[in-house]
Order: sequence, then structure tokens, then C-alpha cells
Amino acid sequence: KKFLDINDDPNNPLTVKESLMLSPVEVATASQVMGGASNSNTHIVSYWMQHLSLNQQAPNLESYFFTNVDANSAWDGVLYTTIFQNLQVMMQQATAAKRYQYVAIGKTLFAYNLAVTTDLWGNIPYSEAFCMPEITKPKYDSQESVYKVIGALLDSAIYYMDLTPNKVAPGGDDYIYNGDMDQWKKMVYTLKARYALRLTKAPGHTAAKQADEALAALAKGYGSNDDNAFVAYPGTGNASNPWYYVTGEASGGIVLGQSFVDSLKSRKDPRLPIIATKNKAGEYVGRNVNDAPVPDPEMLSFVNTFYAGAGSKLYLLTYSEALFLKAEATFIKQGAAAAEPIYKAAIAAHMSVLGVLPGAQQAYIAARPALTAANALEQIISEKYIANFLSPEAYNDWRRTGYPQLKPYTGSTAKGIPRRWLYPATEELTNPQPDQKATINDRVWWDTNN
Amino acid sequence: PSVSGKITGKDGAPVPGASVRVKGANTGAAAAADGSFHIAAKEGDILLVTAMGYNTYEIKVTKNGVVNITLEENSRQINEVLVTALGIKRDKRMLTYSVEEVKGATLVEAKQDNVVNALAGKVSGVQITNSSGVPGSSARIVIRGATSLVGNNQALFVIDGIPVDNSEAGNTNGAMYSGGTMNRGGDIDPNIIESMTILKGAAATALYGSAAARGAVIITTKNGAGKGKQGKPNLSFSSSYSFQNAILPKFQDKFAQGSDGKYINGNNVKGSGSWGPAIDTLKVNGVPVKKYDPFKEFFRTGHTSDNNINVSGYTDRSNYMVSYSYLNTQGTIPNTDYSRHSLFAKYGVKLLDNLQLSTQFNYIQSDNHRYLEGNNFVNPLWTIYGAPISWDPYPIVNEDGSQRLFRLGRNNPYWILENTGLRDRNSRIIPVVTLSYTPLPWLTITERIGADMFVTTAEYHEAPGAVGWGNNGSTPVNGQMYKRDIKSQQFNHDFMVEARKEFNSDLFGSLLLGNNILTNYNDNGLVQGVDISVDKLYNISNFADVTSTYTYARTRKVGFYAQANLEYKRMLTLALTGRYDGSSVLSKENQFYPYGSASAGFVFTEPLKMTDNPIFSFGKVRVSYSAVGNDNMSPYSLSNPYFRASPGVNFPFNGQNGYTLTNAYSFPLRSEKMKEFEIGLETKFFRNRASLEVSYFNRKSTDLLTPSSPVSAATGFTGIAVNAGAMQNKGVEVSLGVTPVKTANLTWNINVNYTKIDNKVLSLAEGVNYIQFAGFTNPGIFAYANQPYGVIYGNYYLRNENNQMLIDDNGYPIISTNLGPIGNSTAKWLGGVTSSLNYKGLMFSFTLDHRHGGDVINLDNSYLYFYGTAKATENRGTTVVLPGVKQSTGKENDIPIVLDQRYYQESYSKANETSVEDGSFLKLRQVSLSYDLAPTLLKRTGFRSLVLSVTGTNFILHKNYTGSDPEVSLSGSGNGQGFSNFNVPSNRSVLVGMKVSF
Repeated sequence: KKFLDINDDPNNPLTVKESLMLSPVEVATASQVMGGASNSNTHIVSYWMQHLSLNQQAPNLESYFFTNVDANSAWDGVLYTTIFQNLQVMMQQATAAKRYQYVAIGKTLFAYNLAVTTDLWGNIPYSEAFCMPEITKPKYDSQESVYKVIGALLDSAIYYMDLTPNKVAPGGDDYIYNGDMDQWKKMVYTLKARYALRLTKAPGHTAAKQADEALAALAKGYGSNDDNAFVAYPGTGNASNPWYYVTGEASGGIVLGQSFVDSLKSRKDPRLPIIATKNKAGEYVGRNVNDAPVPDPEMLSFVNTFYAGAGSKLYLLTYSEALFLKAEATFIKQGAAAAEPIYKAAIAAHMSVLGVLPGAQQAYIAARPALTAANALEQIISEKYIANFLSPEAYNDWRRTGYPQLKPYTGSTAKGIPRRWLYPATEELTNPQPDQKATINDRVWWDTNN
Repeated sequence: PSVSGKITGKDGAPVPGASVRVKGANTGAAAAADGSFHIAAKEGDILLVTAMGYNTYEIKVTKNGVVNITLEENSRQINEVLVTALGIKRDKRMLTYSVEEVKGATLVEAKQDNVVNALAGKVSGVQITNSSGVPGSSARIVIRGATSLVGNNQALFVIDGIPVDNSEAGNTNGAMYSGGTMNRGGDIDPNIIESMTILKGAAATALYGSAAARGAVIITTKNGAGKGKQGKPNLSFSSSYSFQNAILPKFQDKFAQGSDGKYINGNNVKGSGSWGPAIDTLKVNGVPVKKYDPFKEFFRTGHTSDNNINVSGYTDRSNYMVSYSYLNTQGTIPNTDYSRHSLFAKYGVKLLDNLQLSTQFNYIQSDNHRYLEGNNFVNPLWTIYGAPISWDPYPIVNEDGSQRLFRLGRNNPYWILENTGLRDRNSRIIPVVTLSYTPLPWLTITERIGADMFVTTAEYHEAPGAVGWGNNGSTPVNGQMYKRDIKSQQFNHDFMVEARKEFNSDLFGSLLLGNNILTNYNDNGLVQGVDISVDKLYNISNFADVTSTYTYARTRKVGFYAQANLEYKRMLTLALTGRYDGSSVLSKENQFYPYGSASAGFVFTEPLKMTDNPIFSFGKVRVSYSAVGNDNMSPYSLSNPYFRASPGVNFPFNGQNGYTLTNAYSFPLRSEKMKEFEIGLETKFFRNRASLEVSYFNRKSTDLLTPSSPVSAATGFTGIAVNAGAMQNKGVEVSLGVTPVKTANLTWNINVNYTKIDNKVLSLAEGVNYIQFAGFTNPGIFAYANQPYGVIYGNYYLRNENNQMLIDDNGYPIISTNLGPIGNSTAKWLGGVTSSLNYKGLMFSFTLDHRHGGDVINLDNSYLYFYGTAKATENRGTTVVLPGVKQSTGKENDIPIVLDQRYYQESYSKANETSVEDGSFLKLRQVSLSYDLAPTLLKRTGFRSLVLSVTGTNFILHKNYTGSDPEVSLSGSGNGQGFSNFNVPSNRSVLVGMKVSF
């Protein structure tokens, strides 16, 4: 009998410390959720937002040919497993050991990714999730309740940040803030503002109340570009920014969207050369989803190295976004004139990150039309759309506000830009739920008419 | 007083198991494995010697007490001694289950680098699938259909009683992106094989325990005994040389590179499509555009040389054989090759009169160079199959040193040949020692120890500048390599006690008791480097960014087994086997599991006294039932460990290591179970000139070990390790042998085999209708409840309830956004015909092999129809009305569309179902003509024999398949059959050979 007892795995541990769990979750959040890894949520919605275009024959992901299999990897491979499950275990372990900083960071990252998940799918499993082996078919919670969870997680994160720190503290394993709890706290407050404004049109919520909440949170949020949350990539072979891999030569022609390039051109935006490459003819040319593929993709503009270099930073939350949130909330509460300076500061903040010289920043900002009650929301969100290049926040804002106005792909099978994701095929297989009837043209709870 | 001696046949080979009795007395003895016997008898007694298949022999005991007896074969009886489980030799007449034997000579004749392929078309119930035409490619052998969902479904390989590894190491990036590697069974040199016995059913293999629930291939090596003159060494030498040519798919050769009928030259304007104008009349600036043949330039004639030297000899106490072979194949793609050295030595000696020792070892070294196959940009076939005919592939590089190609984002195939490569080397030793002790005439005690040890090193390199998918789907533009070392050691021990008792002349019984211990150690170390420092130096220390992984695994199995046989009047056999196994990979409370079989055989022609009937002389029915277990899973599957993280980047990342929890939650696991019922009929007609054997089997496997049955990821896991699901195989196997002509000078043999297996996945884990086990997610290879194993899954054209295609308002079919079954890779039936015609020394033989049904997804189509290089796209410009009904009105479609670039790119190539093709084929596997020079001609040459031969393989390949060969598998010998994507095409070869003995 003893002879056969050799089945303990000598290669892989059964428990690991929190620091070993935190690092992969942060990188997964950067590379796989917010980054462009193939089939990542951000990658796909960047086509729909026409930041990017795929120089290939329709129908494809860009032209809304989206199957439930396309949703598998984000849900199965990244969000529920790599991120939520590991954060869940990390937080349990850290709570028991009173390593509160890990609990706090865990809750922040959990809330951040939970919002990504519910924004894509609406109702999602949470309350019955992560109860293996007791529950194998977790029920779906309403998006409204998930947003309450997000709020509670962020409040709880702040609570743990205020407890006496443990000596076993995050450091180099925290790629985002190197264990700096003050920075994390600012991020939590900025996120609270982001999610408050997300619900400006949600049933049972009013824009004014959401704006109040956002402004209150932002007072404790980001104060400068130094606060920006990002993961830096060394840029060596196996440790490069995901957009570098995915927009590279083998991509099949992932280029910039035409409306995006044209709008930057028409505004004489100094960020264009930083965001885009010139084509073979020395021009900035984006691709329209309704056009036939260009045989030679070198006739189009690719994503330039600020966003898609091997060693580029991947931003999770920026000061610029905080200012755009503040501008919008201020507009709601106090009107266009009050919002204008904040809106301009938001543009400048983004330009500074991109390295645009102050003179060029001011020239661009001065050429913007003044904000009015009629145009303020469109102006703010359209500028935010540029600052949120390759961020899923552009998609969330577009759904919520309708800005910028995009011309959808009009092929025979398409019914406009999708307003949500299909549930993954694996989920339909293993956990059938009535919610799964939703099509890509249905809306999530907070996405009401616009 | 006792008498000893040796019983041999006319050819000098021992007759083990021959019965010796003293006439008129009750004493009896059986001959040992080498034919020797001892019996208590005194001078003047008469010994009665009987053996299956021989005439009864009587001899008077003389004074010296030694008698050597030569038995004469009984022409009337069938004497087919077959090697069964654990190396036990038995008369086929008395077997209670289906067994087929293939002679070593036939395997050599088939002229295959991989011995598994040499079985193709020869045995019923067995499906062989070669994976690709690249040198060193693997072949899959499945007996009586797949029984396991995701575990190994291939037969167990056993050499001289020792189970040997037939796994396929595979490539580190997975088969879909890299193709397969050699299966370890391909190491075996056909030249050393005396015979191969195929044990098909569980009743035949139950003694082997769990490893053989999937059938077994029992290889018996040559031992040198009985060949040539006793006491003299026999030397023989054989040599063959062959030429191979690739069987290429057909491509369009009418249209130049371009788009929408407009020409682009690929130099200053790039493009992937061959949708330009017709090339025949195409002129640029008045100069006709030159036409190229992308294949003629790329593929070359392959060569194979195979040389074997063999020395053997024997005396009455010992026998030996030494064999050395060297095989070298140069593939049809430049720089691809496979070479194999195989040294085999065997020595048997009688240490004492009742103690026999046999020792042997086989040392094999192979070396294989190839390129990645499959869905990877560094597969050169991508841009050979996709190349426009107007494109001059030379020069390979631009002036700045970068690759020159007609399009962006892919590699120049010739650049790939020079700048990437995969090398797979293997060194292996298989030693076996058998000690057999016969203390009493009826009792044999055998101890057999053997090992199978190998080291496999795979190295891949890629120069900077390659457009690849590399690691994590990324593009390491700065060069990369990996080196993987696998060290595998397997030790097997069997201790067996066999008692044989002839109760009287009518009743014979035997009982075998044994113990088996099987241990396996596996070391797997992988180092990967990206970012090369000094060009062309592919040493891991020359890379800036190095990551490595290492795993060590051990498994142990213990088995106790027993087999009892009772034979009555050589017409009725009853057999019982039982085994009790313990396996380290299972949950502790379920480590041990019993199984067994009961079977019977009845020669009904015997009581009917039909033995002398000139038309119908032999008939036997046999029936068996068995229940066996199977621990078909890897070690360490029971815990929930953390694995080093790789969330889009490799860890360690920024100097920090990271772990994530496993994706598969493990429940306790027990063994898979399989129950099989088999019934068979064996008949002989026309004085054994015709024989027919039919078997029907019904096997059901349950509690299938599923290491990752899908579960909602919201649990935090994507899979659970459970015993779940059931699978059924019902089948009929028919073997027909006919000798239409048999005269002194002319013999003609025909053998026909037919196999029909009805395979069905009965159920999967509760609440789960399908699981994926190979391929991409889309298209992939899935198992669906209530469908045969190997469903091809992907998107399809929408159809109405009458199976009519739905057409949109533009006249195009509508592609589903859902995915589902679009084909099935399981064949409907298999058939083979082998025939040989022997006239004096001249022999003509052939093997035909047919597979009926079984779909293949030829994923090349989805690319080549898009690029416009597929042959069928020559119909571009034709206007058609697609059959179907309009989705909007439900009326029959009447909207004409042009089959143009848009149709092929937007519609045809986007639906996976258009890539699913019928995998049926008829192959003339081998046809050969050989001449055995008459000894009279050789008298003064010093040769004992000289055989000259000419062989052709795959001269006929009849198929409906548009790729090279439907017998193809990107998964190598793995379960994901029926998937092809830029595999190296199969070959047709011509071979000349000679064999001389001195």
C-alpha cells in the first residue's frame, strides 16, 4: 500500500503567499483585461469604438460577427479564474493573517474587474460564485446588485487601508503602486467616481445624485499624472506590452480606425503622430469598417509606440480620466462654464502623458469650441474618447452617452454597434441561465435610452 | 531412471508444450519453452509424444536415456501458435478470443519508417492513421475504437513481455500550432521483429491489466534459433533505397496576384490575394508576366536508405542474434530528415537443464530535423500554398536583410528553411532479462525484468526577423529557441508461475499466477530563450531572456493476476482470468480495483466429425465476457495546486515570480471501467485453402476519467476532474483468407479484412452535452453525447428544418453565429486487401487499404479560398444561384451571385463547414515484386540466398479530399483526429531492395 503512495505533486505548491498571487492578477488586469491580448474585451471593443480597425474581409469581430465562443477567453480564462478566484483566495488568506494591505488591494482590483465584467455582460454570477465544490452552477446576480457590491468592495478597501498596516506588506510584487497605500486610496476614490457616473442613466438613479457622489469621491482622488495607475513592461521578449504583440506584423493588419484618425486630423491634434504611424505614402490613413480591405496594409496607419511599443506602459486609470469625470459631474451640477476649465485640464493632462509640449497643448485647447449646455457632454466625452484610446471606458461612455457619434458597419447581418457581449459558450454549456438569451443588440441595465 | 531430450519440428524449431507420456502409464510431462523435457521412464518404455498440429510420435526408450524427437506436422490440423498476453504461446485453435498475427517479414516489406504504419490495411479491428508526410511523423493505432474521452486511446505496445512506451512527446506550443512528433513506437526497427500479435479484446488483454484495456500489440523479436545450420553463424544483409515524391494538392494556376481582377506585383505593392487577372494574357508595360510554380521549386525528391546486418546462430543449448540497422530518410522538404540507428542483441542460454536464461537489449538512436507544421506562420507551407503564381520567390531577402515576400505579415518560405528548424533526438535502450525455471515437468517459474529508458531532446530555433506566433501567441522578433529534455524510465517486473497438467488424454489444464510491478519516472525540463545576442548561435546561454520549467513525475502500479485454462479433447476451452491492480495515480481509497474475464471456445466440427470434410473442415465458436479497469490519467491529478502564472506574459515578470491556482478542481478519482462482450466464429474450408473469421464485439466504457470536464468558470474553475461519461463501441470484424492456387510452383494468397465499428459517446458529465478535446475552440474536435467520438465543431451555413440553406437578400448563404457539429471524424468502416502471388522465386504482392467515411476538417481551405489559390477558385466570375431558400420570404432562392473574391472571402472561407471534407480513401499502400534467386544459381557465389525487390507505395490514392491525403492528423497520434492544417503532404515512393544471406 505504501508503495503506491507517491502521488503528491513534487512540482507545484498547494499554498503560496499573497505576494505571489498579487503579481499575476495585476499583470492579468493590465495585459488581458485592459490590454489588447487577442480576443480580450478591450481588443474587441476597440474595434467597435473604431479606435482600431482590422484590415480584413468582413464579417469578423470588427463587423460585429461575434459568437459566444469569442466571449470564452475573457470570462473563463481571465476574469473569473485568474483574477477573481486568485483574488478571492488571496484575500481570505490575507484576512486570516491580518495582512490588511493585501486585503485592501485585493478588494480594489476585485471591484475594478467586477465592473469590467458586469459592464460587458450585465447580470453576472457573484453571490454564488467561488463556492466550489458546493455550488457548480452559480446563479446570476442583477447588474444593479453587482454595482452595489462594487461600491461595498471599494468602501471596504478603504476600511482596510485605514487599519494598522502589517509588516508583511506588498512591495515589488505590487507593480502598480509598489505597496503605496496612499496611492491606492486615491485610486479607489477615483474609481468610485467612475462608477458613480456610470449610473447617471441607470433606473432609479439620477444624474445629479451620481454627480454629487462622483465629485465627493474625486475630492480624495487623483491629483496629478503622478498618480496614474499603470503596469510598466520591460519590453523584452516575453515581457512586452500586449498591444505590441497584437498589432505587430503577424496581426493580419490591425490598423487605426478611419473616423478616429480623421477626427484627430481635422482637429489638428498634436497627439496624432504619437498615437498613429504614417503609412507608406507618409500620410495618416485610418480604415473604415465598411471598406473592402486594402491589399497592402502598409497603406494604412498602425498604432504607434506610445501605446504599442514593446516597453510601453499600460494604463489602468489616469488623472486625465479623473478630470474628465470631474468635468462631466461639474457640468451636470453647475453647468458648462464651470466644467470648461476642468475639461481643458483633462485634455492637457492626457497630452502631458503623451509628451505633447505645453505650447502645442495650449494651441489645441484654445481651438476647442467653448462648452455650452448643448454641446458640453458631447465635447467632454469626445475628448475623453481620445484620451481613453484603447480603453474599454470609451465603450462604456459611448453606450451611456452616445458620444462620439460613430457610423456603424452596415453589412447585411449587422444591427448596429453591439451594446453588450454574448455570454460565453462555456457558460451556456455548463450553467444555463435565462439571461443567456441576450443578443449583442440588447442593453445592460445602466444603458438606457440615448 | 529418467529420460530427457528435446522435441523439435522439422525446421529445427522447438515445440514447447508438446506432451510426453509413457504408454500405458499415468506419468506425463510437457516440453519446456525450448522443447526440452524430462520424464520418469525406463529402458524399453514407449514414449507417446503429442503436440498440437503434429502427428503423434512413438519412440522406445533406449539405454542412454536421451531422446531427441523430430515431429512431423499434421497437414490436416491447423497449427498456428500465437503469442498471447505475457508472452504465453498458445495454439490459435484453443483460443477463446480474437487474435491476429502479422509476420515480421510483412512489416519489413511494407517499407515504412514507422512500424505502426506497416500494419495499415492488414488487420481487422485496427485503425492506423499516419499523421503527415514529414520524416519522423507519428502514426496512431486504435483497436476497436476509442474508449476514453481524453485519455490515451492507443494500443499498448509490448516487446518480448515488456510494456514499452508509445507516447508522442509533442511540441511545446501544442499540436495545433506545431504539429506532432514521432511516436515512440516508431523507434522499433521492423527488421528485428519475428511477429506482431494484435490482441484486440479485453478478454485477450485482461492479463496485462489496465494498460491494455485499449488492445495490445505484442511484438516478439527474432531469437536466431532454428535458422540455418546449427552451430554455424548466419550472416545476412539487406539494403534498400527509395525515392519519394510529395502528393501535392491541386492549386489554381490561372490567375495572378491581385485584388478584384487588378494585378499587383507583390514588390512595391504587397497583397495576400491571388485575385488578379488571368496570367496567360497579362502584360505589364507590354511584357508578359512570368508564371512560376511555387511547389516545383520548393519540394524535392526525398530519399530513404535502409540497411540491416544480422548475425545469428544457435546450438542445442544457446541461441543468439545481433542486428544493426540504419535508416535514413531525406524528406521532400529541404533540410527535413529522419535517421535511426538500431542495435539489437539477444542471447538465450540454458544454464541448467531446467533453467533457461534469455537476455536482450535494443538500443535505438534517432535524429529528426523538421519544420513546424500546423497553424503557425513559421510553417513554410503557409506561403507556399498561399503564393501567387506570378511571384518570383527569389531573392529571399531584401537589400536591408529583411525577408522579401509578396505580402506583409508572413514569412518567406525559403527564409524559414534557412532560419528556423526543429530537431528531435532520441536515445533509447530497452533491456529485457527472462529467467525461466522448470523444476518439475509441469511447472514453470518465470521471472522477467525489463526496462524502457529514453532521453528525448527537442530543440527549436528561430532567427530574428521571423514573423511568428512564438510564445503566448506573441511575436518575439528578436529570435528565439527552446530546448526540452525528457528523460523517461520505465521498469517492469513480472513473476509468473505456470502449472500445466494433462489430466488424461482428453483433459488438459493450466494455471498461471503472477505478479507485476510497473514503475515510471519522467523528467521534463524545458528552457526557452528569446532575444538572441549573437546571430545564429542557438545555445540557450546566448539569449537575453530565458525562462524554464521542470516537472518530475512518478507512477507505480502493482498487479496480481491469475489465468486458468481448461481444454477438453482439443475442442472445448474454458478460460478464466482475473487481475487485481493498484495504481498510484488514483485516489487512495480507490487505488485497487479488480477485473477479469471468462471465455469459452468450442470447435464444433470436432464432435460433428467433420475434420476430414473436404469442404468444411473446421469451425469454432468462441464467446467471452470481460470487465476491466483503466487508470488512464496522469499522476498528481488529485490535488489543486498552484501553477506558475503566465497571464499574457511569462513569470518571473519584472523580477517577481507569480502563481495562480489550477483551473481544474479535482474530485477523488477511481478507475475507468470497460465491459466487453465478444462472440466469434472461426472456420476453414476446402482443406484449409480458405478461412473466415468473424467477430462481433460490444464494449462499453464507463466512469470515464475526465481531468477537465467543463464547469461554469464562475466557480473559479473552468474544469473539474471527475469520473464522468460513458462510451460504447459495437463492431464487426471479418478476416477472410483464400488460397485460390497452390501448386508446387505457384501459390496465390488473398487476405481480406473488414471492420465496422459503431462508436457512440453515450454520456458526458452530468449536465454537459459536449466537451472539447482537441483542435481550436473553433473549429475544434469535440465529444458530443449520443454522437460518435470526434465531432468536428465550428460555424456553419444556416439551414431550415428541411435542411435547405437559408439565403440572404444579396443571394449569399448566412453564416451561423452559433457553433455546432459540422462533421465527424470517425470512419464508417475500414477494409483491407493483401495478396501475394508466388511463382517459383518470383513474388508479387500488394496491400490495398480503404477507409470509408470519417470527415476531415481541411483548415487549409479557409485560408486558400481566401487567398484565391485553391483550385476550385478557378471558377471565379461564374454566376450562380445558390440552392436554398430566401430567409426573408421562405421562397426558393433566385438571386444570382458571382463567385468572386467577395464570395470566397466573405462567405465561403468564413464558414468552417466548407472546410469539412470526406476523409474516405482507397490506397494502394504497397505493391512489390521480388525475386528470390534459386539456390542452384547461387551455388558458386557463396550466398545462401539472394532476394531482389522493387516496391512502390501509395501508387494509387483515390479520394474525395482536396488536400494531399485525407489520412492526416495535425494532432499527430493524439485523440484529435480529423484535423488538418498545413501538414506536410504524403509521399509516393519507389524502392529497390536486396537481401543476401551467407
